[in-house]
Amino acid sequence: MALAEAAFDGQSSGPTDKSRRRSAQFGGWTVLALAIAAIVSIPILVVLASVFVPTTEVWSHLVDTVLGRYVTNTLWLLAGVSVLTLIMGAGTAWLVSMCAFPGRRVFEWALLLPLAMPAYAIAFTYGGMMDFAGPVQTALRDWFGWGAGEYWFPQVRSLPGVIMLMGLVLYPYVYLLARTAFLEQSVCVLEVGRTLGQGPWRTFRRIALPLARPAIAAGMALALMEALSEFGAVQYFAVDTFTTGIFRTWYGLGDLAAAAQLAAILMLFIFALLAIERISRGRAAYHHTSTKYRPLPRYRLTGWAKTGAIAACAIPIFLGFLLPAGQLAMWSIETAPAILDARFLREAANTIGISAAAAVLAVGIALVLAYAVRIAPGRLARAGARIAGLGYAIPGPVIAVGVMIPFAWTDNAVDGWMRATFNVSTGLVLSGTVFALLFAYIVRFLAISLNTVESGLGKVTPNMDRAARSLGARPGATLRRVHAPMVRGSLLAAGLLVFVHAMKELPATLILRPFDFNTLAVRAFELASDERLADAAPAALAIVLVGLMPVLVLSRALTKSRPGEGQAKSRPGS
Amino acid sequence: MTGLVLEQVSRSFDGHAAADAIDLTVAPGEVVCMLGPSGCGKTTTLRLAAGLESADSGRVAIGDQVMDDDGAFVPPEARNVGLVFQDFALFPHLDVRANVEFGIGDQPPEARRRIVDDLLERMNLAAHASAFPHTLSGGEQQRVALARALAPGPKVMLMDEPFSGLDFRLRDQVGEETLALLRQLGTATLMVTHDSDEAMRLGDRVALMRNGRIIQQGTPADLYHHPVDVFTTKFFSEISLVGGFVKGKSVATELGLIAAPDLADGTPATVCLRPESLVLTQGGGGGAHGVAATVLSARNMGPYDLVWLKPVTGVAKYLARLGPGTSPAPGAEVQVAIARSGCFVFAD
Repeated sequence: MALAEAAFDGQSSGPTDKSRRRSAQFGGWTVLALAIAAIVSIPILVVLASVFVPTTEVWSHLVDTVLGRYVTNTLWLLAGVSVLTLIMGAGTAWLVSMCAFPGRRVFEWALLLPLAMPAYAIAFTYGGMMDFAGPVQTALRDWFGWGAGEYWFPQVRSLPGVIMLMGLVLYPYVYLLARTAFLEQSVCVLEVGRTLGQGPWRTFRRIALPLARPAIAAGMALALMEALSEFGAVQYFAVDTFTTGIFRTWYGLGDLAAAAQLAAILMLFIFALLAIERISRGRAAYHHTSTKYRPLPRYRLTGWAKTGAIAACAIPIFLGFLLPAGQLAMWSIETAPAILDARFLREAANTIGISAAAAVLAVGIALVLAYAVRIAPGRLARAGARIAGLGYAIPGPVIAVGVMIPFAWTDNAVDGWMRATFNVSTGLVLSGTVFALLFAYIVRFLAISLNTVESGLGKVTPNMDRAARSLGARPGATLRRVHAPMVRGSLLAAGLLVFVHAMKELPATLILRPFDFNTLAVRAFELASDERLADAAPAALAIVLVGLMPVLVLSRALTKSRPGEGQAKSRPGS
Repeated sequence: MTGLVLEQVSRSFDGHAAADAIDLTVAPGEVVCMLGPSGCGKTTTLRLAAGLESADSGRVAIGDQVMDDDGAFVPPEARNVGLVFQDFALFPHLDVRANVEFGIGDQPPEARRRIVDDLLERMNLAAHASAFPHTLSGGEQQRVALARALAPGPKVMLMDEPFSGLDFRLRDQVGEETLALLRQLGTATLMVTHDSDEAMRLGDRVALMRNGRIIQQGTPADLYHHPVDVFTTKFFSEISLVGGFVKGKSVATELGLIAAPDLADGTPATVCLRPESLVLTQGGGGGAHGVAATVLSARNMGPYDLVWLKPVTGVAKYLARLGPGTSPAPGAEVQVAIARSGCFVFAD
């Protein structure tokens, strides 16, 4: 690993020339971090810069016809998803953290399951189940003897339907962060509330909930960002939002500039969300002031409260995961023999290949950035790392457009120059290649790997480095004997997370993939768009099953996150 | 044979001198405590000795070998120094035995086992050989950190606040046992602390630092009984301060004339009074020796009493120290005289 020798002040063993050694501490790593940040932020800057490009006819056409609808639909989507994720996420988190009722231990991890279900998969599954010819309406007609058109049935292919389904798969973000916050609350703080004459309910409302508010806000911000960038579900249900608009403007109207301008508006929504999230945690300090922890005394629920709690936890799990996953499994059993052919295997190989490549690269780059911040701690290196991590907030279609524009420009420039100079046409070198897609994945998912790698590296304190070196371990040996074993788990987790996200990614893949290059997500979406739902099921099910892996990792981490609890039992360094 | 030698060692960060012309020698088997307020440069000095920082100028030597001067620099892994940190910095992914073994991986397995077994036995850790650090108590972790640092047989042991992470009841005992072992092994030990009691209790010599400089070094008794300035005096006990001018080889204060034989007339000076330098005679009235004062409050501190008093004709408060249970009641009038020991005059 080339990182090894440079990782510690560039000093090697044995007496060395002093002036050379001193200069090695500056420069290199900071420059590297800034270079990565610059490259990774190109797509974002391109989209933002598009605001200054003169508008086209297509743009004024968009403003006249669809822009209003995009804005209203997007706002309704955000409002609906906020309410649903808040109720389902924070509510269930409080129930499983603070109350005792049958099944609580199962619900604790099962409530995360819908995280494995991509929104486009749940959309077309429900679309199929709730259709006129689907199993639900057929069963109703059979039971009640209704005829076609003689009864009212809610239309799932609508804005409320999309909101409902997105709420079902996005509430785990709020659940996850709210539960962590509830678990970290010192029981002392809660008991002080009790001794000051507050009842359990008022203690929750006046102390526990406000303390958890930043976490809940952060979870909702994450869920809303996912909702904003969702493409497959809204496209399938023909609900026009910004993401579908960007896609259609580029794909249907072929106007990249107008698409970029739509993308810039979408990014305003994102920046507003980020700002709200910042402000919500800004003023008060939410550090835990006490370090004493005892197991929380739970409220033992009985009677109707017990039944209600069980239902409140079971319904999201059933509707958000068990039912759609079951339907996908049934369809898969039906169609797998026909679908699992050489083409499916090739697409699976494509998916695994490009996701694995994205995972390895994202983890490698994150490692470089994290070490840059560790070795040359300065404002510049830190800023570089933060900018490089910005892509996660940017929706897939926006990044796709931001990648497309500079790549196409470069290709044209190179092609034109080659033709003028050598009379040879190079055609597309960057755009429309796997490289463009890989770049988009890294821009989008670098933040995930960066966070995980940084927290892993944070466990290796500077004093451990110093202790190792004073015990005779050279920089390379310190990296191998101390850093590698302590960080390995985090690197694997980071890789796994990026892998799963890249595998599920749909809109950027649709826009940027090379001709005739299909992933499982694209295949599932295309088949579903043709209403070949049962045929789409095996690919979707494969994505869901792989997506379960990080959910299991998360649920393990969650049960161990309570300070002072389970530490003696847990394995060291994990 | 010398242990650790620092000669005129300086290091600055962004123009601020963290260590300024440090001269310090630690002999084998000697314990030197570097004492000072936070930010005074004591940790930087320790890091310079360890090779975790390199000096801008000056010379660092261990034994007969130069470690750092204008020409050369020996990195920490080649210096054979032991380091113990306040947070212990044990490797969480290794058990106790593997932690202690970390620095002696180049030795044959048989020798390795012998060294580790011997150290674990000495440190009373044999039962925890396969335990992981986070399952141990603070005192046990401290002993593992020490055993790990001792395993390669370092000539110099550098310790940064090694006992301040421990419960105060453990601190004295662990500190004394640790340093007894280091003295027995003939290791030159440099220990950083901000606690003057700890430095006086554990150090053979004490080096007091402020703003990157060593203000005074010597035995604990030297520093206590012959401080060089107000700062040094204040560092080892609470004191009462009085300002004044030298006139006729003494300074006039509310509590009478204080001798200042070395200072010229007219020099502005500060008088430092340690509590034990105030001698109280009970019962007011004429004839008794000293200045009349009123007792403001008194408190028993276990082995001694602390008494705050104010001269009848004065304004300032003074602190005196008496035998347990001998202090007069608040409001009582006493006669105060100044003893020669524990009373220092410094020119401003």
